Amino acid sequence: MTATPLASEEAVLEIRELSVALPRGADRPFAIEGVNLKIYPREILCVVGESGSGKSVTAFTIMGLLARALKPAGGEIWFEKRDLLKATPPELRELRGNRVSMIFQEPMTALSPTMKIGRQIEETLRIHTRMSGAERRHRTLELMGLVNIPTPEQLSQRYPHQLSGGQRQRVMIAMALALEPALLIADEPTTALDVTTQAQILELIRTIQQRSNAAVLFVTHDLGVVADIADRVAVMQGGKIVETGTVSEVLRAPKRSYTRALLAAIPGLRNRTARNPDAGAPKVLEVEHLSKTYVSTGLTLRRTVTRAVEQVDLVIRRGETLAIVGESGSGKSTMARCICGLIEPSGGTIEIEGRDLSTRSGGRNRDQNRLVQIIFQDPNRSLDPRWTVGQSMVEGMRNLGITRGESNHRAQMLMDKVGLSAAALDRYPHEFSGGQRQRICVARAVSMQPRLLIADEAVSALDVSVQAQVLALLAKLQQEMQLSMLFITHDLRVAVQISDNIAVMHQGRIVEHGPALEIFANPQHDYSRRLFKSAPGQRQQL
Amino acid sequence: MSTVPQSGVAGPVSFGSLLRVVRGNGHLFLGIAILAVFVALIVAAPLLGAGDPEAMLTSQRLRPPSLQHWLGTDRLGRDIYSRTVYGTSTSLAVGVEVAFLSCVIGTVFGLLAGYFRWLDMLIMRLMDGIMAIPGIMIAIATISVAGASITTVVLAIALHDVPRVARLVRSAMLSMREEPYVEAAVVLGSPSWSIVLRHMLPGILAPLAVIGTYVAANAMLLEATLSFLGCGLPPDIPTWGNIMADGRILFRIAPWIILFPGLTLAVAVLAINLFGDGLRDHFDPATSKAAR
Repeated sequence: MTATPLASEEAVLEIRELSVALPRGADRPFAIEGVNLKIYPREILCVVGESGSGKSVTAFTIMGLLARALKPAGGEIWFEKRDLLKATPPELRELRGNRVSMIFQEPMTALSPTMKIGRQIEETLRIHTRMSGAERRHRTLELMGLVNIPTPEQLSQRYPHQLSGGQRQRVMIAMALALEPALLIADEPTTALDVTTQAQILELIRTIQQRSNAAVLFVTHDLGVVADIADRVAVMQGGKIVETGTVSEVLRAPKRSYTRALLAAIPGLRNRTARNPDAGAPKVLEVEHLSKTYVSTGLTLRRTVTRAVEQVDLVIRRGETLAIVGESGSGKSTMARCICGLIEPSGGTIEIEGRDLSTRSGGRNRDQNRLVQIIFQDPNRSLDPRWTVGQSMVEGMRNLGITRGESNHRAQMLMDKVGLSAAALDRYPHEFSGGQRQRICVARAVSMQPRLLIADEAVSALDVSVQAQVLALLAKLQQEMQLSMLFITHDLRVAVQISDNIAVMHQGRIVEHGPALEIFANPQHDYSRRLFKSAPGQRQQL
Repeated sequence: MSTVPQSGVAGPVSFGSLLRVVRGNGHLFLGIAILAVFVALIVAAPLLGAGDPEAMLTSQRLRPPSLQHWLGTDRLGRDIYSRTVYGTSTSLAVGVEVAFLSCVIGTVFGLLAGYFRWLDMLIMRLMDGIMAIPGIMIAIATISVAGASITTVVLAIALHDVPRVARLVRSAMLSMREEPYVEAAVVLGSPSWSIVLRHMLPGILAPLAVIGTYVAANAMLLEATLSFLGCGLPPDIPTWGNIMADGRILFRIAPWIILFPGLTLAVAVLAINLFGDGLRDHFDPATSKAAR
C-alpha cells in the first residue's frame, strides 16, 4: 500500500464547501451540500455511498460535466492554483484530458463505436500534444502495453465491440493516462464488469497509480472495492460527507452510525450461521441433463451453435438454498428460465417433487406453473407500470381459480408479511422505491405457494442496506414456508451468506457443487479458485 | 439514477389533469383548438352562414369572394364557402374512419405477429407485399373494381395504412415480450390472451394514438388526391378534393375555387399533425423539443 501522504504536502485537488442545487420539485434542495475534500498526490481517495448520495455528482462537478438541470450553488474547487468553478469553458477543456481525466462505468458507451481503438487513443495525443504521427503510434502501443492489453499491435486495429468489457475498460484507462494527468477520476469503473475482471482492473489502477504519481478519486458503491483499493475514504450520505479517514480507520473503527450500518449490511465472506441442511429431506427439484442450445443460421447458411447450458444436473431439497454463482454469460440465467418454463430447453428433464414438469414452452398447466416462481433482477420493470400493486398481486391467485375476495384478503396478509401496509395495494409501482418493489415481487411470487423460488440476481440492483433487508425477508419466508430456493447471483459474498450449497457455473456447465462453506474455503476447480480469489474485500478483512 | 419514471402511465386520468396536460403542451393545444373550429363548422354549418352546397345560381357563376359569397362561387354558381364547410365533414370523416379501421386491423395483425412467432413470418411478408404497392395505386385499383363510394374509398385507403400500424405494433410487442413484468405474468400462469390484451395492449396504446393521427392526416391527403384526379368520391359529394378538381381548369380565371379548399385542407392536415406531435411529446418526453 502507498504511504499516507504527508500533511505538509500540497493537495492536488481541494474542494471547499461545494454545493450543487437540484431543480425545484426534487426530493431535496441540494444534490450535494457543503462538501469538503482534499486529495493528495499518490493517493487513492474512495468516495463511497449508496445511490442518490451525491458521489457521482461530486465527480462530475469537478470535470464540469454536470447535467444542465444541475447548477453549482456555491463553494470552490481548487486544482493547480485555479478555481475550476470560475474557469472558462476553453480553460476547462484544456484541463480535461490534459491534467484531469475520467474513467466511466460503461466503457462501451464512452468509446466511439466507429473508430479503431488505436486511433482513439492517438486522437487524445493529437489534440493535446505536438507529437509526430510516428511518436503518437509508438506512445499508443506503449500505453496499451502499460494497461496490460495483450498484443497491442493487433488489438489497436480492432473496434470497441470486438473487445471484451475488461479490455474496453483497459483502453479507457490507457486514454485517461495518455497525457499523464495529475488527477484521475474513476466513476464506478468496475461496476459493469465480472468479478475476475474487476479484480484485474483494480490491480491495474493501483499499480499504474503508484507508477505515475497521479492522485485518484475513485467513486464506488461497493465497500469491498474500497477495502481493496483505497488509501483514504470519504463516506457520503444524502449529499453530505459524513465521515472521512484512512481506509483502516473508516472500515475498522467507523465513527458514524451510518458507516457502521453500511458496513454491517455488506454480506461478509462468511456464512451467516452454518446451517446443516437435512440431507435426508425430500427432493424438491431434480434437474437431469438440462441443455439449451441456440442455433442460428446466418446469410451464408453457416450454422453457429451456442451451447448456453450443457448437461446440467441439479438437486434441491426441501428448505435448502442452492446458490448458482458464475460470471455473465455463464448460462445461469438461461438455466433458471428453463426451470420456470420461460424458455424451452433443448434437452433434459425437470422434476418437482417427483412430478415431471413439461419443458415444452406453454406446455405447463396451472398447477405446474404454480410450483416454480421467479423473482427478477430489476424491480422497476417486474411490475406492470399500468397496474396497481393490488392488481399485480392477485393476478396469479386469480389464475389458480381463487375467488376475488379471497385473493384480495391473501394479498393484504402478504403485504403485511413483507413489511408493507395494505394501503400499498391501491398504489402504482412507481410510487415505491426499488427495495419496496422487490418486496412486492417477493410477495407476489410467494402468493402462488410455490415449492421452489428462483431468485435471478434478485438483489443485485439494490443498495447494500436494502439488499440486506430483502435477503433477510427471503430467509424469513423460507423458514416459515419451508421453501426451497435457487439463488442466482454473480456476487460471491451474497451467495456465501445466504446459501447452504453452492454450484459454480462456467461456460454452461456446473464445474463445482457442494456445501457453501466447503467450496468457499477450499475450491477444487481451477475456475472456482480464480473466482473466489477475485471477490472484493479480501485485502482488508471486512 | 436507476429509476427513470415512465411517463403517461401514472394511473387513472381525470379531466382536470387532462386539461393541465393540454395547456402545458403547445402543439397539443394548437392542434386541438384548430380541430375544434372544424368540428364547430360541421355541427353548426347553417348557423355559420353556410347554405345548400348543391344550390346552383346560374346568375352568380364564377363570382370572386364578396360579402354575399364569402369565398366566391364555382362555374355552376355554387357557393364555395358552403361546399368547403360541407366538404369538411366528408374529409374529416374519411380521416377518422381510415385511422380507426387501419389501427384496429393493423393492431390485430401486429399483436398476432408479435406474440406468436410462427405467424410472424406469414403476416409480415403479407404486410411487406402491401407496402410494396404505392398507396394511390391500391386505391385507384380498388375503387375502379368496387365502384366509388365513401365505403370503398375508406377501405382502399385503410388497406394501404394497415402495414404501417402492424409493423409498429409488432415491434412494440417484440420489445415488450422481454419485459420482466410480461415474463412474470407467464410464470404466474396467465393465459396468452390475457397477457396480450391486459399487459401488452395497454402499453402500445400511446404509440398507436400517435400513429393514428398521422394515418388520419395522410388519409385526408390521399382522399383529396383521389378526388382531384377524378377517381375518388363521386363529384356530387362535396369534398375538398372534388371542389379543387372542379376548379382545376379554371385556375387562371377563378383561382379562389381551388385556393380556399386547398388552404382548408392544409390547415386541417397541419392541425392533425400538431395534435399527433403533441401526443408524441406527451407520451415520450425524451424526444420533445421542450426537454432538449
